[in-house]
Amino acid sequence: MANPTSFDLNQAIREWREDLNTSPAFRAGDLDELESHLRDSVGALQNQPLAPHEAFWVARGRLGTGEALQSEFGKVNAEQLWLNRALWMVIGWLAVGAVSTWASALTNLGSLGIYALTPQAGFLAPLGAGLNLVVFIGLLALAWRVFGPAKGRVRQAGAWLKAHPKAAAFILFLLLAINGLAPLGSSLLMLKFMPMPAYAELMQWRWPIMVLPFFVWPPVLAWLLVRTQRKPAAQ
Amino acid sequence: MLSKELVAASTVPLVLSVLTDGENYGYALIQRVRELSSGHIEWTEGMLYPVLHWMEEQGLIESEWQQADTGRKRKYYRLRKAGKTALVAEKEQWLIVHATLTKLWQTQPHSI
Repeated sequence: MANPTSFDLNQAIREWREDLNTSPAFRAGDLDELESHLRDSVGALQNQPLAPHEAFWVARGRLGTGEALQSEFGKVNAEQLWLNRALWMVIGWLAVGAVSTWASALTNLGSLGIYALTPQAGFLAPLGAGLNLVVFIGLLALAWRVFGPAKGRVRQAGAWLKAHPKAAAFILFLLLAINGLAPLGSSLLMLKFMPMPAYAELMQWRWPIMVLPFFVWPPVLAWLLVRTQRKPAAQ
Repeated sequence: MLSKELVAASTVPLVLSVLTDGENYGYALIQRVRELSSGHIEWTEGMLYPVLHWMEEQGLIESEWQQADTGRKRKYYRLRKAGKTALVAEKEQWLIVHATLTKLWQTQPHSI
């Protein structure tokens, strides 16, 4: 909690507002209205009288937690929330695609290495498929490890992308380019050094693993559908 | 203190009823209901706004930002015609519940 002697009410309200602003559930007007309410409430509590920092914390508590406010405002701002979710779904789809693509590209190189060492081995195709799966799961786990504990930062990044649409468009383009070019480059490399029948057999084994990540999203979408479209209720 | 289910169910008729006295803003609406209920009806204050926005979407009320004497802006809500009609229907339903419970409790005073 802030030191009462150095408490700056405007700064505290600004930080509280910035924290709520990272959520897509609120429109700018909602935050203006909540801030107006908070200031009215703080003013009334200061007349009781409470010290500014006490008044702020009591008023903030009465207004509701960020999570509860987000949940209720999300019900009335469902359209905006869905646009935001759609954007995240596209980013997620591209990100999973990028992970899958890099897994595929790394597997291509790995398979090429195995083929160079044992060109006559009969297990290259299943081994390549297994390698693809392991690398994909490994990269996903790595991504989860890096971004999983930093949900706040991911949300902040989302807010930053919304505020900078040109940068967001460039990043999307970059992800699309990576998704297209990485497997193309490594496949061309394989075709150059591996005979067509071996390459075809390898791909026959690997294609289900390569397309699997793109089927992750329909259940996620269905889950989101079930969670929305409820009437708000004051409690 | 009322249960949260009852508080939630009574929010719309309470807001419509308070607004029959004239336009008002969220903070004042909450204070008015707290005062009228002698503190028995306590909303988690921020939760009222999504309900107000939902009522506005339904065409029951309308809102307008206005500048207060202090210089700060506040969003004022006022009743629309559909809100007045809805209030008549709400009043009828709540009075039926009230009358039924009153009769039941008058005829069975010792069973509760």
